[in-house]
Amino acid sequence: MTTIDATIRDFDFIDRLSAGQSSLHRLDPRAKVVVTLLFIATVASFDRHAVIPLLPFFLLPVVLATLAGVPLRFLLRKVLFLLPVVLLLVLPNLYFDRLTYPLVDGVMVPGGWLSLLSATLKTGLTVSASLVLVAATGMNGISAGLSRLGVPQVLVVQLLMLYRYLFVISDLAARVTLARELRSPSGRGRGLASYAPLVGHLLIRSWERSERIYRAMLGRGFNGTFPLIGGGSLGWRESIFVAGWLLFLLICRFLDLPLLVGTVILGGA
Amino acid sequence: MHMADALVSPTVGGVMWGVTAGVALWSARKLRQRGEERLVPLMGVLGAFVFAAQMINFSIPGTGSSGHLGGGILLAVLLGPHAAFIVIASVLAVQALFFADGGLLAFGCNLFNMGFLPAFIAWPLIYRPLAVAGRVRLAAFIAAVFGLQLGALAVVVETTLSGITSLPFTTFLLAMQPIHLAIGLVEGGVTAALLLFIARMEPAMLPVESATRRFPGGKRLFLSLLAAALFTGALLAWYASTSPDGLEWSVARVMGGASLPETADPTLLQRIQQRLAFLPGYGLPVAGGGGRFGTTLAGLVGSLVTLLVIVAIGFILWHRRQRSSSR
Repeated sequence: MTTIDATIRDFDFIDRLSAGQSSLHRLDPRAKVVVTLLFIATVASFDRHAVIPLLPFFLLPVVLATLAGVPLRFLLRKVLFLLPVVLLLVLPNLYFDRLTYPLVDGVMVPGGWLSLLSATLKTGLTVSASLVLVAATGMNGISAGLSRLGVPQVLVVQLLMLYRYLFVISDLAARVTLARELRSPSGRGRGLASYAPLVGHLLIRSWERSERIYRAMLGRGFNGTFPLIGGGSLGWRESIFVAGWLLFLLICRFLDLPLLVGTVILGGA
Repeated sequence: MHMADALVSPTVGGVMWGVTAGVALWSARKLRQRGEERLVPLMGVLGAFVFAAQMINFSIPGTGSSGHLGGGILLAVLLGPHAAFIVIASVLAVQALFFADGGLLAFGCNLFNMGFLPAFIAWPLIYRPLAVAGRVRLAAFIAAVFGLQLGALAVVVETTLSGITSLPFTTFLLAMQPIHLAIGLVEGGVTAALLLFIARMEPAMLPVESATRRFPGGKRLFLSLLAAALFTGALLAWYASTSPDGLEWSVARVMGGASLPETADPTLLQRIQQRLAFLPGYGLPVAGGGGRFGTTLAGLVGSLVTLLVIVAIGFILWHRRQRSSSR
């Protein structure tokens, strides 16, 4: 299976998840977008050595994923896939950041290891949050939400068109790539000489396709504007959702919850 | 090359979001003014094309690795910078949302590095002048290399300012630039190959570049020179010689030793100068001058301030000439 097939499969999977009908799905996209962005910003605001205070934040992706029906294994797979890229940039810290800092009171760990752990946790949190957002909202919902938030029409329409034609063009690309694979024994014939006409033809066919699409759109009364579906309305559910998670973010950001919980359990100190 | 959220601080992410949002709004307005509705499906399909093409690899002989198209320069050539920026924004958005390839907080940084720099810096300042002169292959190569070097520099600056990595700035830079030089050459080669293929098969797709050799004057010249000045001030300044210049050398010969002695009782002017100088010795006002970052900052600030002063003087003179001629 080529990369393109795997990509389209994942894409399709999230697309189908987004067609769900859970309570989270039915919330207005704007509320979900705002909460996700605030969540990511809060997680990113921790300094590079923060480890323990990040742990309570996992409540959000876990709760929302469960509500929306997103398999946690899927999230884990995506996070693990992206982790190496992040760690590549943080790995040098093991060499450069050798001063020790307290992980918890009394346990001193070199800064490099702390930053490695911290980056891992942050990646896990931010990636799962954004994936849950898309799985619970879908492209139509996000586009409609963005449009209501004031994003220009050109951008929103572009997102929708891209999404729509991604499947079409990727399909084309997958077939063409498979043909090349089948015609290139033991890796020969895969250089730039075969790539340029292949991708060039793909480009030309895409271009001609867009001409036919444009004529079809004109034939159906396209006048430059796009009516958007998938938006909701802001009601009390959205207010509670945003207010509740905002409170959670503030508490977790400014109080070291695990420390508090541990202190309480161990009888106070 | 997509930056993840874990590597970006909210400040850096927020600032870049603001910058790219501004550029996006401006591009959207430009496109609306042009009013070409047929661009709508074209942009969508080309976005899908770039997305799909990024997943098709070709093997690079002799290295055992493979490369693929980035697409920034190609989009700018086919669609113009404003539409290209919007298309790149949409591709990055889908990648960030559906594949978590590039974070949501870091989206502004990624859009700036992979959208603004190729479409609004590399394409108009490098590709266009060379392509108009007929050197399409060279134009694609140099534009791609330049764009990717700038992009790599931007990643290093954004990551270092975010404070997540303890890599020293120069080490980071020395690691990133050569890699992105190679990537740039690949991108240039691929873009050139594709453009030449299209020129042969379907020349109507390419924008009509003027056949006459035009010397790029006016605003484009100004921007090219500005870019060169900033590049010199920011990066080439690192290699400025520390040997004494002509005057210092002569003074040292006359004084029979090092530089002028520091007086214990500075004059009023010297005191004013010490107070005003916020980038003393072409570096940050910390011990060591902030290293190369300090030099870069000093170079950039100095160039920009000089430019502003000259522009201001020019403006005042122009204004006075206007008033005297209207009497």
